[in-house]
Amino acid sequence: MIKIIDSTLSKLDMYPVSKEQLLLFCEYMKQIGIENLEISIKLYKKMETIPDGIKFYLELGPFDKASDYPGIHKYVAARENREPNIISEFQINDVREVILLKSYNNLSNVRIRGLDDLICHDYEYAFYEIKKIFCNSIIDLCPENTFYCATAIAILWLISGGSEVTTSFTGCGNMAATEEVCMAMRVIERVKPNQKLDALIGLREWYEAVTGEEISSRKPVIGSKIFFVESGIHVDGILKKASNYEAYSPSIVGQKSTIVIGKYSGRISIKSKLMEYGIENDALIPIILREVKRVSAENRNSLSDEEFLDLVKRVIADG
Amino acid sequence: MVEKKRIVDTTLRDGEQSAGIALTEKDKIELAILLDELGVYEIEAGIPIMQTESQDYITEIKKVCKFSKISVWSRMNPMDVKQAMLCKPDIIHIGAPVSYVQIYGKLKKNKTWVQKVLSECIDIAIAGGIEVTVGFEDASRSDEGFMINTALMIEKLGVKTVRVADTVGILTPHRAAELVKKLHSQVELNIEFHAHNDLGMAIANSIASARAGAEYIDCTLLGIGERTGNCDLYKFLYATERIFDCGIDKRKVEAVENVLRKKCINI
Repeated sequence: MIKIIDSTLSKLDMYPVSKEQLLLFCEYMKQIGIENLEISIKLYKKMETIPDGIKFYLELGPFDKASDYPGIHKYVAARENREPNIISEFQINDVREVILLKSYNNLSNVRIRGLDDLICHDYEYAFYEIKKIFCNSIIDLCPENTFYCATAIAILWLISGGSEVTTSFTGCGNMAATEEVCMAMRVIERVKPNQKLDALIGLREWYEAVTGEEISSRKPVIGSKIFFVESGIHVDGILKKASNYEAYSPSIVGQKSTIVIGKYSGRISIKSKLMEYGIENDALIPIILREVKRVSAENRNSLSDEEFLDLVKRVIADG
Repeated sequence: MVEKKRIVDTTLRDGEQSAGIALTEKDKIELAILLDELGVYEIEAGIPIMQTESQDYITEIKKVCKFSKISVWSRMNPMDVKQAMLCKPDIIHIGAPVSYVQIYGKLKKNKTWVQKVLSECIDIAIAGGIEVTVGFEDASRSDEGFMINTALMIEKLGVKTVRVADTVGILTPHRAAELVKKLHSQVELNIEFHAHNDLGMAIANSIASARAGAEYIDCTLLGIGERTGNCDLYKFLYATERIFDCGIDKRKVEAVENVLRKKCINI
């Protein structure tokens, strides 16, 4: 049984998050199958009540006492700590530092944060060493994303038999992205812990509303345009069978495949789009296609539905 | 000691194929010149059969680029290969499906047909004096036995480089490395790795494949490409500068990215 601890709520102290928004976030997380959330002291206080069905983790500062924050499942201390319910966190930025962890091998619960460049080294050996050192401990891996590999490191850890990872939504705060880890485990390892991943749409909107940051339309798993397809070869493949060019069904994440008309469209795209408007005239397709490519290249953009329809009307009118 | 690797930039092919991104011929020539100056080993300049623009821009790219090899992408179709040859590129890259999903599901053909047509295409290009690289499309969902068998076949036909394409972006670094090692254990071909970022692992997979022995890594500026994109050139260089020498100064990449940003509304 793997555990993903989402730490988004420990990364948002600089934003004005309301109590209602915090509870909504918890609800969305439950829907996607994440029941372990890390929260900052500031947001813990703002939330006032602990929602049902969620286990909370809270990072303690050097002068904080766990007893001041009731209702928390486990506390995280950025140092060696042998108290029960406290996870001792160690920052490892160089794989050669793993060996230094040996002196802490009798801790019951540890978090290893960092390991940013692990993919550039023998990560299998590093995992082996970590597991050997903490053979009697719960090990939570919290890879950081300085070298853009945090999601991959989290996945490799879980696939290699690791049981816990800490991530964050969109990877905010230089972490592995929760949604990528969930989807990768589903696609690659068939792990589906009661997930309703269509709630990711709600989470995306939630995150944009709270932070005021727009998530890239190409962001893996949650981007709004990741299922847009334009090139003729790919449209043909998608229309025959979506799995030809899709790693998973868009409906799983509350999205759908969308044929975009543009410079790289082919005859099949045009035919399919015309049929959407109830137009069946194969003789028009080459003329429309030529016009689509010309206009799209001129505008350096694909055509919106309105632009496409206007173009079709123009071609028909020109006879 | 850092290992030498070569970058194949596919911004002008896979990058531009991304929905909503459209470059003019002039844009492509300008970007090709900048990529050439950056030190990219190979520029995949486009798909001649697309009839999207004239093929003259590829000929022009070939003329103005001093250092990079210029390649064009071709479907596994003799007519397409002949069309591609008219551009007189340094390399014709032929995409060959190797997964059941693509062979049976998309093309409605079989494995024998793939090998027959692929060898026909390779023969045409090589007879025309043009270097051929072959792309194993959807290699991550492939029948590995068929893939290795096809690799042996293309090696005999005179191909020197095979591209392993994670077409739907489902590899992990571990599997990417395994695929490269398996191919290397059976053939002498150079291996080129082509990642997609569907699960957020394009850079990690590219690094793992390069560490496993892939000599060529496909990248795009800003990581643009189908769906969630390809391996981001700058990020790959940044992540690997201590282990690989790709012959590119990463500090100069940002200026080229900015040129691309200005040319594309949807980036």
